[in-house]
Amino acid sequence: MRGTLSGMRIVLACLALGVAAIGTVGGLRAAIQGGVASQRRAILGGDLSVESPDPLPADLAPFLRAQGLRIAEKTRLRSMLYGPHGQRMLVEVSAVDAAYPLVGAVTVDPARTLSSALAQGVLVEPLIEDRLGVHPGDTLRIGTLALPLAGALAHVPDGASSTSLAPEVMLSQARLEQSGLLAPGALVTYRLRIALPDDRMQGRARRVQDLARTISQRYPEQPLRLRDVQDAAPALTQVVAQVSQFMTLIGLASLLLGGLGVASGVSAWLQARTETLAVLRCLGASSGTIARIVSLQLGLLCGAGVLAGVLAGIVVPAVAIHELAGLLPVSPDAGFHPAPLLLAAAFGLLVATLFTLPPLLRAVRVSPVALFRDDPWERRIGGWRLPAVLAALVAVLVLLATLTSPSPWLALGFCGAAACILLLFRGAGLLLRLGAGAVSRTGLARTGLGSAWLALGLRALHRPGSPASAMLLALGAGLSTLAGIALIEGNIRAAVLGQLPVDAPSFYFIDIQPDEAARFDAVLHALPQAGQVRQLPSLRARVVAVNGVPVGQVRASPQTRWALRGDHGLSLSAAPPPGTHIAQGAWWPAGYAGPPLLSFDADLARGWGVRVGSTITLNVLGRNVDLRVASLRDIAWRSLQLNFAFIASPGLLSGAPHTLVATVGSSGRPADDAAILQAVTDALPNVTGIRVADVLGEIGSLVHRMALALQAMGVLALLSGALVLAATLASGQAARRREAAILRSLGATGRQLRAAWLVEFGVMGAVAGVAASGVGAALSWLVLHFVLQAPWRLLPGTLAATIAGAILLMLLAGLLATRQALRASPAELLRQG
Amino acid sequence: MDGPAALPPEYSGAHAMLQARDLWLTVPARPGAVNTQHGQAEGSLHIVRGASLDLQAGVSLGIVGPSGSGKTSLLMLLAGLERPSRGSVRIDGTDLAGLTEDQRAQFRGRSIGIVFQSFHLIPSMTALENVAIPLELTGRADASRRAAEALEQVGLSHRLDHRPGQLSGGEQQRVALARAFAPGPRLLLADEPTGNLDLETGGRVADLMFALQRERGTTLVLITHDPALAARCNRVLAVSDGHLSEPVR
Repeated sequence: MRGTLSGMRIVLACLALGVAAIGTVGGLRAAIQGGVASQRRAILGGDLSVESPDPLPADLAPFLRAQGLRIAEKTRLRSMLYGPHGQRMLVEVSAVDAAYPLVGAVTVDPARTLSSALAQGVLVEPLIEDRLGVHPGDTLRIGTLALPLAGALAHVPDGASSTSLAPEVMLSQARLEQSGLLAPGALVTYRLRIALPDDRMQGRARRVQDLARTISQRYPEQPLRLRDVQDAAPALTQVVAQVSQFMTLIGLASLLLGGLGVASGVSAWLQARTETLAVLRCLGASSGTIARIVSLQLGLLCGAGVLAGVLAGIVVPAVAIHELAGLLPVSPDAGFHPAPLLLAAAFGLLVATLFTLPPLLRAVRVSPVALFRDDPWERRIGGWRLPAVLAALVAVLVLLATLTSPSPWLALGFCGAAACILLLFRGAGLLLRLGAGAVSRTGLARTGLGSAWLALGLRALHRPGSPASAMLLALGAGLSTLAGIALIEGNIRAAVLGQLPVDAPSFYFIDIQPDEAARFDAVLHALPQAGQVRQLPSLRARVVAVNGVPVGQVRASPQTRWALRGDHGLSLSAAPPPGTHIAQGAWWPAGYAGPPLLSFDADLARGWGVRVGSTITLNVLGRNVDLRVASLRDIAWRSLQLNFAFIASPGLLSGAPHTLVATVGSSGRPADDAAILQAVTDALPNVTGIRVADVLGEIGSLVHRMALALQAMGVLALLSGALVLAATLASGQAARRREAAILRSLGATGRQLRAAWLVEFGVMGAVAGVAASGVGAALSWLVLHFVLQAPWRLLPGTLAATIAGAILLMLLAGLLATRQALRASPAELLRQG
Repeated sequence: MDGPAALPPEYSGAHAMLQARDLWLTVPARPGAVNTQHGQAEGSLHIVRGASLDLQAGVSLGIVGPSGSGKTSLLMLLAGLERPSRGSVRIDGTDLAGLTEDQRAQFRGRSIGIVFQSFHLIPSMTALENVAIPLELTGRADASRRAAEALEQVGLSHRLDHRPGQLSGGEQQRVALARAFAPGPRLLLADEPTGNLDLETGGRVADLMFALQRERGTTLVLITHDPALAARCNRVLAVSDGHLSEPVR
């Protein structure tokens, strides 16, 4: 009875865990989305945002003011920030005008108004204060400008409006103009926020739409990006939606896995009541009456599990919101969100019904005589009704998962994958039983030393009622998820960080003005730490048309579509840069001064249907230029050498304002790199240096953080699996104890029994590990090949760890079960009859 | 305390197979009660009180007594499945008190066969597998063949692959008999072997058990509440309130 009681506690836990996971994820998503919705005007910085990589048209601001609209400007660019002792770091510079912010308020620490703080100097994110070890009053340098630190940016209302990899520094527009950072060719984003007057609240959305249309029509040639409040925090909204969907699906997977634990626990609970039910049947209770009694009991129990999960789904998001308050770019809406809790409860009740129905019907529909004395493994429920009801429940579950998901196809794919994994592990269970049976029958197990334990262990795997299949699935599903995530992470890390070419540069320097090129070279040549230096001109260009087809109508492959949007670097070169590999066509002759020619990335050319002789129209500094493709290059981006997808012949474009980009080699030692960075930026303050090792380190840590988040979900699935394992063991524990007592009465020693269980659980663990490795490898291949379009390779270490982990976990489960079974007194158990 | 029962003269030449001396089994009357070092405990319950007996090889002994008198506990002590609170059990010259739990299990596997009232077959195994277990545990390579022969002897050669749930009560007890006799034990302990069977089936099982016992010269201790069944043994003792004594006629 104790086993069944603990089994029922596990049933509660299985349901509660899955429901809590779904409820928590849904609650957090609702809170963040609610936060974005209620603050979207502040996040956008107004009612409409206009953004451009080029300076905004000079007459735009007067035009808007003339209509009675309030406007504020914010200019952003990446640069270096220098501390008083030469410390430096890459930052995102925001320059704002006096009208900023139109909505909400910037909180400054120590408290003062934004305008007074910016009049004094610069404001920085607290992270910068920590990294550079600077305090208010210290002098910081940006470009050629030295300014006192006025304080920290405690809150910026439009912080979630765009994504940035570097921490923010804020200064006034006027100061930025004095910094020398706005040189021609610099990578700058110009933003203008527009707010409607408060008295025009009625029809605000339509007015914003009209205004956006007017601006687009007024400046058709300008690459303006217009966003309204519906699109206030696109990156955040998208990330929250995608992450929460993925986590909801993992929660659902845990719940489904927990369903197996529910089935095990309920089966054991009902089995312990078999005699009572049989007696009730003999005393005249109909199967309907018994079904009602048992359903009521199970309903209350499952209801309690679901309720516990729902309560956790209320408490955990509330605690998480409180804890994450300072870390999120928006203040989450801490109100009560019933919808995700209802959805979680619905999933919980559906799964509970799905998994309790078969054991319930088995218990109440068999005849009293059969209950008293038939073979428990022969009890099967005939007829079509149960399968039909189960199929209907599965259909409802799939429908609910699909309809409530932002990406129904992903949800459907998940359901399909879950079904495949279920079938695969069932298949592995079947193979295990057949294999163990075959080995037992051929007598192979009895040929060696200590053969009895081997025979007993193998027999336990293929006997009727063996929990092997359920245990394989319980452990395997969670481990597959973890193995898959580890393989994806390992492959990404290997692709990003593994095997850097020996001649890879250590630095990229950007924003070098043409008249600084000679000084730049001189500084580096004087430095013994600096290795090879390469420079190329860099211009910003935007694709307008391919072979005369406007960019919006170009039929590009999905992998290359991204390159048709936004700004790109364009370089000019008379000779092919070192290491160039021409795949088709030929480089232009030395001294070529004819119509502009283009050497283009061969991969993009394939995706766009571009050949040698095709024409690509680029917009360079507001002018459309037709470039004929003279050659296609295979570019090894992983070499990290300085390269451009677009390299034009000099001539026509050589007069256009541009900057230079350079790569510098070094030993890679931090001290050498620090010396190079200091020498260059001291000599040329407007130049920004990016250390390759730092970027790769950032990418590595980003990949690691993402993998950690995913692994946390994998652990959730593993936890559900562990609960199922416990439920399965608890449900079979009474039989295991009784069997141990019988075997001991027949002469089995404790060592023989332990060895037999070692064989049983060790083989189960090995099969679970091998199957989980296979499923994990397949999952990682699918994700890398189809979603990330990255190369995949087998990582034997990860797979070996998965198999070892499975064996260890299963042996641990076996050890616990064995200890309990061996601790019981055989005499007492045998006396019970 | 009861003294040992006198042996009938016809067995005086055989060696002693089973010797029990002053066996006590005392358990706490309620959980948590502490035993004293003298085997007496405050609030303790004496299930077996100073039982002693000597049994020559090949002899059958019937032990009768009402339910709850301590019969099954006595059998557990004799089988080494329970450690006595006091006293000793010696089987075929081996003192069980000197053996560890695993050594007692190995000794049981070699020397003792046990038949239980509720059969105690392993429900997930076939009849053949159930009978083969004790043979496998002692490392016999021909366990399967010998198990099949044992089942043939009890008339179940057609039921080798059936699981206990697919067999009648009588058939299950015959499987249990085959399992007990298959390793060739010197001592057979049977606890109410017909207690769960109807009169006719019980009679057939008892016939089979005595036939096998005679045929193999096995020493038999039969625990039963049925005086008629006990009367088929060479000797009969009675248990009452934990005391072992000659039955009152």
